[in-house]
Amino acid sequence: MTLHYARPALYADYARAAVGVAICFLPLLFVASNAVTLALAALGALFLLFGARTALRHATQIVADDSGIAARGPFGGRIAWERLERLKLAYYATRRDRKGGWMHMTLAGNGRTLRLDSSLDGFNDVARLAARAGVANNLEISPATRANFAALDIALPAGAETPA
Amino acid sequence: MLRYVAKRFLIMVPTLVIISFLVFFIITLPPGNCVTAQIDEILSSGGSNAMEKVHQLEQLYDLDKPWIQRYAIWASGTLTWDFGLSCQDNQPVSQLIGERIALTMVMEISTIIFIWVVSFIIGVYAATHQYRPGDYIASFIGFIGLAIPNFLLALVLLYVGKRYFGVSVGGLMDPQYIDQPWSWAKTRSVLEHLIIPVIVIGTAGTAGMIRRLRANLLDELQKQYVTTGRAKGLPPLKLLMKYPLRHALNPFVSDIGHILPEVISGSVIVSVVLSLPTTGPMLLNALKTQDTNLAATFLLLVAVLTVIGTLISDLLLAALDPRIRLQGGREK
Repeated sequence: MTLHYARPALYADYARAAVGVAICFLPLLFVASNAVTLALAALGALFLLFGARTALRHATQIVADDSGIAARGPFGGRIAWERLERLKLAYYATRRDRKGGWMHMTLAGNGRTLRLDSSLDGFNDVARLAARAGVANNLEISPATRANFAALDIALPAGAETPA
Repeated sequence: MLRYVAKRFLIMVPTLVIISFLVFFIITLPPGNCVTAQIDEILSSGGSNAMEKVHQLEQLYDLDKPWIQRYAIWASGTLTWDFGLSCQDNQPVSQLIGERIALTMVMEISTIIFIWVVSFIIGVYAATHQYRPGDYIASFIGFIGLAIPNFLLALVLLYVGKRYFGVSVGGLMDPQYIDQPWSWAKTRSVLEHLIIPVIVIGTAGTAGMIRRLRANLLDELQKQYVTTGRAKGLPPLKLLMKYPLRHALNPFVSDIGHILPEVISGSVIVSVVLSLPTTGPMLLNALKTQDTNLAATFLLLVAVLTVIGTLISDLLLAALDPRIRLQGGREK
């Protein structure tokens, strides 16, 4: 299967990056350098970085099948499932009720690390393949990762656990 | 995470614009302005050209312009760290703030360190020695700290210090060092004078933090993974430090959002009582005298620190606890 980051989300991110860059860098054209403009420049750099990362995601395709997973595009790489050495699925929430957050999956093996987040179309399918590979390779999977897979309705058989 | 940070920074811009607009508007709502408050004084000393002097002052502070125009001038000046003139001393606001902000930050950061260190030690001790004399003593101290208002504690310490020890605990340095350049002796004087304000301001915060840390740590210590770790023979200290304590530290992190603005606003009432040359009394005076530029600048700085503090606290909370999505009140 070939997966992409959702187009509407990417376009929204491009818009955010552009607005952020404009807000931060436009005032710099009109005022002399001082502490405030330095802070604005740093913030502008953050928005530039965000824009660059969005472009990177736009140009990246995730290809997953029964043999492995690959990121095609700049800074891409491939990990064969049988070479998967580390699997982590984290859920980040910034609200007290822990809703409205996002998932972040880290896959490592074969000297490569791939990081995917839940805005990827078909993230659940990749997570299912990764979970299967993790179990097949007898990887140590933390209780937090296990519980996050369970939240995606991917049950892992009980096995060796490492603490969160 | 980067997307979240970008979103939050984008939201910050309109938030700060709206806050600054409302603050400026509200400060200008009462009738009169900062020159009105000085009119009697000017009239009594000014003679025939008194009204002309009033008019000149109003022009100097842009008070002859509509408030929306004054807001635009002030808001555009913030980009160049120029917040206009203060009516109080006819000095640039940036200069007035700069003089006091360093002392305020030293005092508030010392208070934060005091709160964190004291409440960490006492909170952990109280949780690990539940229902023992130490826990009762810690709880008693906590309740006392919560129950006594800071300004009252400050007044009591002022009285006790003067009456029984013959020392004045007011101010942040000995009088001979005021307006003197920084030296080792002046630094030492500031450090000596910091002790009482830090204890006074920190007491309530420490008490609240002890209660929260104790409650959180007790919750964690009663969980099954702790029992399992204990049963498997993990050393008690390692068992405590590695997992339960880490999860119980959330209140420390979430409090950053509240603590940062306090670093600038200072503890107003305590500072007034103890005659501390911090930003708190200056803000109070600016609001009383309708010194719009000064008050709006303070409140804008407080707003900036509030939104940044909340962001830092949210990011740290997410990073500290990349755990489990809770659905329907249970881990799914």
